[in-house]
Amino acid sequence: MSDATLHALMAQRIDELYQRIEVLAFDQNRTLPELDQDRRRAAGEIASSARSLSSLASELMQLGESLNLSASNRQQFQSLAVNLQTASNDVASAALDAASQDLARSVSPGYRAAARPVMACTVAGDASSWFSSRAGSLRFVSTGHGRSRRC
Amino acid sequence: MGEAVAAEAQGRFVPGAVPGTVRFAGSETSFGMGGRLESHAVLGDVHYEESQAGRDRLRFSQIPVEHDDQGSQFRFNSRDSRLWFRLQRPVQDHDLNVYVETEFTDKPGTYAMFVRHAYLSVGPLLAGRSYTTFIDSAALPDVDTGSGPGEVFLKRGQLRWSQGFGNGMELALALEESDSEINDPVSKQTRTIEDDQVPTIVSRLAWRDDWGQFSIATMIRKLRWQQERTRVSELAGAIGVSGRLNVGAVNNMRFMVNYGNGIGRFITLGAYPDASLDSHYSELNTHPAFAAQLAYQHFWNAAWRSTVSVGWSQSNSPEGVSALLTERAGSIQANLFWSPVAELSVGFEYLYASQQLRNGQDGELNRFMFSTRYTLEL
Repeated sequence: MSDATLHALMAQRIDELYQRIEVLAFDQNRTLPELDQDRRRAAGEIASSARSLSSLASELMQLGESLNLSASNRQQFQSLAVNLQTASNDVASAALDAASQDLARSVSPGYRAAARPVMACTVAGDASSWFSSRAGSLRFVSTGHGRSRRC
Repeated sequence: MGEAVAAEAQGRFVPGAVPGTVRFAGSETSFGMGGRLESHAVLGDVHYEESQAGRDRLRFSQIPVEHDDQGSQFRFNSRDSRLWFRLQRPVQDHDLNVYVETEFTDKPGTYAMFVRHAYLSVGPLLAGRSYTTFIDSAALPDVDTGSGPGEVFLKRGQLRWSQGFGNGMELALALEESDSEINDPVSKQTRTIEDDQVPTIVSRLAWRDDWGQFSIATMIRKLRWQQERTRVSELAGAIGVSGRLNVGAVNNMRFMVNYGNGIGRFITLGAYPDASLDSHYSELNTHPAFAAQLAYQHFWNAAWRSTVSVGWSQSNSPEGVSALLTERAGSIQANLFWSPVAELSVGFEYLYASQQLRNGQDGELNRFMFSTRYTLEL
């Protein structure tokens, strides 16, 4: 599996973990300490996945040198890889700090903006995400099904 | 950040960082309170001779059978409205949680407040009243009209030790209070007997991973009845498997399958006794029972969700017990809820439920419920 495919899968995994954390809000049977435990567990997994994504972004930067890209495309590729690394580090930090559903509100927009274009370089289409928390509420959002973008 | 990293490394919470809590200035203690207001409008079949509880909630033993005085009724209630408080603080290398949750339960003409959960946990030790360890609370379906016949649903006083082994595996062992539901051969009534001398021993082994969670539970209990100089007892046990399987990122399948000769009190909302006395009051005969529940929760999008839940249970009674005891029960529940924000749920649920008595009589009921629920945390 290539690094790019791996990091696309990892980004999708982070998305899924966000969604699961937010779905906990609808769980009416478990007690709040039980739900907190689940949120912390999922937040820990998000932090771990984000750290892996960050190190993969580093490898992607090195890989960029060996790709057959024009100078302007190479520059854009590197810039997007840096953005991805920065955003991944932000996600990891927020997950550790908040360990709650609020982390989606705090990092999601920046993370998605940075992660999607780089993923689209090598993956046909990007993962959809229903659950985006803004101002504490759940909202249906589209992240561009099947959209591809040139590097 | 340093504090958060240290807490994360030990799997602990960060004071004040848990949603719905505030940290007391100058202390490590976080406090949280909240509640929910829930209202139901119900149109459905009722048994006029039975209690109000059976009209507002699903009580299988109160489903009207042939020749019962029955009909349809439109009712409003605010049952299931709740109020909760919690305290959290780190204690050495552990989390301390104190949690109290109350519920408004309908009484004739008014509501009374009952304790649902009241427990304290320090690291792996939990003490107090909460769901029996035999329950996998993550496998309980998201339904509003009441627990299905296949669900284990019971709260008990307990002392529980939970030990994680890494890789998502956890073992819980508990000693729980051990009241017995015994059917009396003369009065034909089932009574809760509090003559137990030893606690119920319950274990649950659970696995948790990306696919969801799965668990196996066992229970051993000693049923006991005592009156004047007559004392009889019987050892009983049960086994259950349950889980929640993720279907995609957010949809899920929840299931429970339970069997044993000591789970009458745990299933079908107490429709079955644990055991019955023989006509000489010299022997206690257990009632083996089987119960299964399957539910699928589907998120149509972030605001709309549905659950379909099907349940069935059966209890085999020995000869000589009351012919009016429930022998089988079943239910189907389906709902559609709208939650434009996480705190609010508005929706419809349909319930079909049935019971068959030992004498062969059977009955069923249909109910439609419109419910609104608003949850508020500090």
